[in-house]
Amino acid sequence: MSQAKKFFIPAGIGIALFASLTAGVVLRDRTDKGVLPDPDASRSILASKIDERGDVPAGDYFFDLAELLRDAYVDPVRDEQKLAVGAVRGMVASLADPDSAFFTPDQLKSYRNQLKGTYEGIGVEVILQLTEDQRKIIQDRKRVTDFVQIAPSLVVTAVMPGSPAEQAGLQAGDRVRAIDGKWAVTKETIEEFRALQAQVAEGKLPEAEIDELREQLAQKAKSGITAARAREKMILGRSGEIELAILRKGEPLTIKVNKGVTQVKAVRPAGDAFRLQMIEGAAAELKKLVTNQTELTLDLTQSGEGSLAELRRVFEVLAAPGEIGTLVNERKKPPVSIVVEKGNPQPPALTLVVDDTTRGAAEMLALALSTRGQAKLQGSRMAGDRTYNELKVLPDGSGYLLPVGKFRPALPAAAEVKS
Amino acid sequence: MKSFLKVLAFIVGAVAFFCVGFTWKDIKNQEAPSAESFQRLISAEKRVQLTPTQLFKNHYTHISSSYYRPVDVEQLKYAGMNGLMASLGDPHTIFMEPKISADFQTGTSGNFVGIGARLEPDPLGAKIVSPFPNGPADKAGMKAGDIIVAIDGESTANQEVDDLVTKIRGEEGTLVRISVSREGVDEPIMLTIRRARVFTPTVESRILPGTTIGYLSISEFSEPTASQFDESLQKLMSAQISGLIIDLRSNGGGLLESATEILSRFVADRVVVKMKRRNGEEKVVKTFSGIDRELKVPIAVLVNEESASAAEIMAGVLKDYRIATLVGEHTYGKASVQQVFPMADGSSAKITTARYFLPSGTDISRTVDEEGQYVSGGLKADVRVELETRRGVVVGDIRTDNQLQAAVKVVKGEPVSSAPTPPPAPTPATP
Repeated sequence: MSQAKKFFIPAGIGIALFASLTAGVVLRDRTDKGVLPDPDASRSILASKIDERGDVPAGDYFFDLAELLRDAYVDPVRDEQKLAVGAVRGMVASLADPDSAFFTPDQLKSYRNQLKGTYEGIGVEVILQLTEDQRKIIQDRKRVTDFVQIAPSLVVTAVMPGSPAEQAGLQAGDRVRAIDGKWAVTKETIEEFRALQAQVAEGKLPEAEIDELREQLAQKAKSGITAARAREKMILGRSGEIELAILRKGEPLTIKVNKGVTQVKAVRPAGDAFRLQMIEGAAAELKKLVTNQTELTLDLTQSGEGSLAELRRVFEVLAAPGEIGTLVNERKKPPVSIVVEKGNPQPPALTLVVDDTTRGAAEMLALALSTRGQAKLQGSRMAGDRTYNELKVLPDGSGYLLPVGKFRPALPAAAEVKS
Repeated sequence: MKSFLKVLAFIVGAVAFFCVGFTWKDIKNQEAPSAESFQRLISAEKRVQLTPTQLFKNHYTHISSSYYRPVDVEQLKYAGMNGLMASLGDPHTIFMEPKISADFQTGTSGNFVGIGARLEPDPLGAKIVSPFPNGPADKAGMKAGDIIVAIDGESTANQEVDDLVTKIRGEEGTLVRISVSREGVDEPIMLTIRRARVFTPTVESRILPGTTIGYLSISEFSEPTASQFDESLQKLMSAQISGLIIDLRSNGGGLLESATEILSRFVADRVVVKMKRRNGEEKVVKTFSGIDRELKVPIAVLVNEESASAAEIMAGVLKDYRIATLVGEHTYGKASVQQVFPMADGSSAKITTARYFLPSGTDISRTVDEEGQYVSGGLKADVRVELETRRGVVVGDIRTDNQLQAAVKVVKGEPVSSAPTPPPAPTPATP
């Protein structure tokens, strides 16, 4: 009996102590997670009062409508917070900004997981891509007579290493046409549809072929899904298989891919270089690397959007202190400066490998360091995506990305001559 | 005492371990323990619950001030209201900003001051689809196919139809000078038209060629629809029709009052719909008595998935009382009633305030899958016929419209095969 006691009591204490240790780690993670990975400094500076022109102030308007619904709507309005979240969603959508996004709680969870390197779905980043002309039409709110003028392309921008998508042979640059036989409504598919229609209308083909085309048309018209929904089918979910119809360099292909969970490391050796993904932990990993090396080659291709909070930490590791860049706006407000505070007094000489799949946080890194003369760029032109997004989380777990500026690299203090 | 010390030591140990665990991240990163994280841990419980209005206001302010492009705050506000209404998940509960609200008013009243013509976009301005019969444009000699090139001497090239409509409309009794270009005429023709109150025609009727069957189509139910229906029906009846086809395809509904008035020509003092509000309050809408037309001919009603609301009620009531046979495809399935509430600044809120049930008690509410595709709901057609998608099919044209052909058979009492009919043999061109 006492033998057992002698064993169990210390064991119990040990377990309890270990439990409190774990609780500490977990709680730290939780508290940190409650904080948005948003670039903190930009907030207070951009927030300034704007005057209201409307007769009814927005808040009163909201209050009145909510009350009206409470009184008159056919079903009882149980969750009034949902009304506010819906209103925020509506406002975000009205910006018609392809860089902004509203996330439902599930979408937000998956987005934040991505920033930590956990990819669901088939393990890719895929975007709704617009041409410069299309962007202009949307942002200038020009009237559109034909949806194809603003229809996005659905483009794979990064295939994560070790992902089911990589195993199935999906590549960055692939354009998605259909998922599981459902047509994504994109610029490409609309154009395909129109070409078919034209063939039918011309009626030059044999009757049987025309009928077949007509059948195809009816099928396509019936089974369309939005490009956004198609994107979701690719990046959400942890099991099952999807069949993708894609265009690769103009050639149609069909690829079957399983869904699963792909864990991506922030920094991975790739030959003499290291491939960098701007996800949580990247700065810490880089710190280990730069303590041993004075020269470093980082591969920034297929970078994905990346985390801007992590970008700031990476700057602290790779860049000498000082202003690294500014966020510029189109509202005649002063630009917001981004400063590397402590930084690395002896920054390594960097070679950065980039191409048109380098975007978001990685593109801003490459731009800032090369402008400072601290890094050499190797490869080809980058994607041109330098939008600085701020994430806001709503009480129900949903959230949204708001573009607060475009990143412009700062010239080194000595060379402030040309812009 | 000893055991007390032991317990104390254990607690201190546990706390110490917790702290090590909590700062493990910093230790790993070789940084000083983050005081901020400790603060957050302690204050985490004290988060204040915002009221929905505060929550909305916070983000309204945030978006309008932090977005990097200029923001139209009024549009942002309206977009918020749109989103607020959309969050209920009911596509019929919507917010209408002032301009849309005004258009909606014009739409349901079915009348406005103008010249009475349907327009479509054209690079030069606008093309006249059809002048309303006996409307000001019609009387002034405007023809279908004319293209408006100038209004009051001002060129209309490259302008939006909506903007042109605004210019054409105006005070009742005033004049508008419209130049139109007409095929076969070299110079533009100048028409001076006096603006007048115009009623949008919503009913169209004729005897189907080669038959004694009357065809009557209703495009929507606005205020003047019932009287327009009466007029058309009178014309058909005096021509001694042997059957009637009422075309409600793509009729999105409108005013329940108009549909009820029309139904009163078929059944007197009978239930049209039962409406149930949230508080359980029930309201029964009945047809009027005393204006029963005693139509003694077989009737077919054409419907499709775009037949909704008042159109579905009309079709459903005629079906439930065995007055007509429904031909075509299932209807939309909108089983709710909306009320429009005006707001202070000229916008309005259209809100679903009740659900309705047809006389037979059927609930026809539409259900859709996650892609928004139709799953169930709506009225089922008695004779199911899909409209052919062949080239050259013109809805309402007896030679090519296979749903109309099926309705003719139904009215004549002939059997209809629900399968798509084989394409008709090419008709020789009549000399």
